[in-house]
Amino acid sequence: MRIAIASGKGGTGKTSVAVNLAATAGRSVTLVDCDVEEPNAHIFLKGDVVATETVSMRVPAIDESRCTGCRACVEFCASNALISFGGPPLFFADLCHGCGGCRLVCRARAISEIARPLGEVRRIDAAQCTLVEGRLEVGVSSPVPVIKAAKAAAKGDFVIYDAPPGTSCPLVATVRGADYVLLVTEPTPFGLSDLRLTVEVLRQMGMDFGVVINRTVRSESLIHDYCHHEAIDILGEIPDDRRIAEAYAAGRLIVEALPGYRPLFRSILEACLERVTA
Amino acid sequence: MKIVFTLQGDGRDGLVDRRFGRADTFLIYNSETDERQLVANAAVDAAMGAGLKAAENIVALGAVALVTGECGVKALHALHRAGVKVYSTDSATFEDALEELRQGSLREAQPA
Repeated sequence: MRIAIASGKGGTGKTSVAVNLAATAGRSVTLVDCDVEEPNAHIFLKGDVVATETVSMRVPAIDESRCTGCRACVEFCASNALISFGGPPLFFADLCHGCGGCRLVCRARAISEIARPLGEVRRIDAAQCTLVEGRLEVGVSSPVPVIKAAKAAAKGDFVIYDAPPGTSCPLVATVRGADYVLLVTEPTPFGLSDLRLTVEVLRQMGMDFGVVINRTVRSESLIHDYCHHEAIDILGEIPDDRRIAEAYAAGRLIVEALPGYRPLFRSILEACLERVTA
Repeated sequence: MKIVFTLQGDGRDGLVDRRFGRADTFLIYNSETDERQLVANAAVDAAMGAGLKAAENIVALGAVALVTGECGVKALHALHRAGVKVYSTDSATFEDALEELRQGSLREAQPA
């Protein structure tokens, strides 16, 4: 079973929900921190790094002495990672998606491939569960390959993916293959706006999803009205409680610092499980 | 000498487009003949790498200099390699930017 925690907007509480659900689920769960540009689940799920694997991509290396300047590679590259002013092409690694097509179309056999490091995947043996964390190398623009590698490194039958913010490729890469997506939102116009965008993406992908409202208040109607109108399930509501913020700021799990919240996370987790098995 | 300016829309209003790779139109100014030619930017809809594609295109058009608002780091690097000088302007119109260029008051952008 695979559950992804996503939101669209940053700072709504994805990681808070993810780490607390993981801690609630117990030892058999693996949490994958797919927010590889800024992984922070390790702050709450502390433990030793037991394995590290480098993630790399095969990118072209051009032998200028063999290049005939025919532009076949330049014309082929849909990412515009190769350009030419007449002579051997210039390569811009940041745009390369590693398809390898340039090497195949090069008749002069001037292109070989080298590994470009993109980041790493760490396995952390935390007290509560196993944490797999992707970390993007500074200066690499696309987090997608590291997200995929982190997901692939997760073993076991029960996996929770903590998605990065946003609604583009990194979100899609994270939620793809999940059985259910939990959208964490906040009762603000910004939260609602990004929730709408994320719902649009997930509907296009044909995913099952539900909503958790974080930092909710008694008078909350913005998210409720939207979810009611769109027939989206609300699986739980986490109150706007200063003690939660204090626990978070101290790097503590809500379910450990404030045991009164355990039933809430237990019920959110069970609501997810019901929808996966239904 | 051919100098490329980036313009908005079809370029007829002479308004500078501050973007390079995603500029609508290139005005190719011939400094010897004072001739002006408008060319649509073929890279404007590129999914990615529009700046690099545009750089390749203006070099193919024979440009020796570019006047635009801001040029991204990759395009700037590529144009530097091709020997094309890149100037940043805050002027709103082509005529003002051209005057700045003539007076030598434009700042030449250098790759980091």
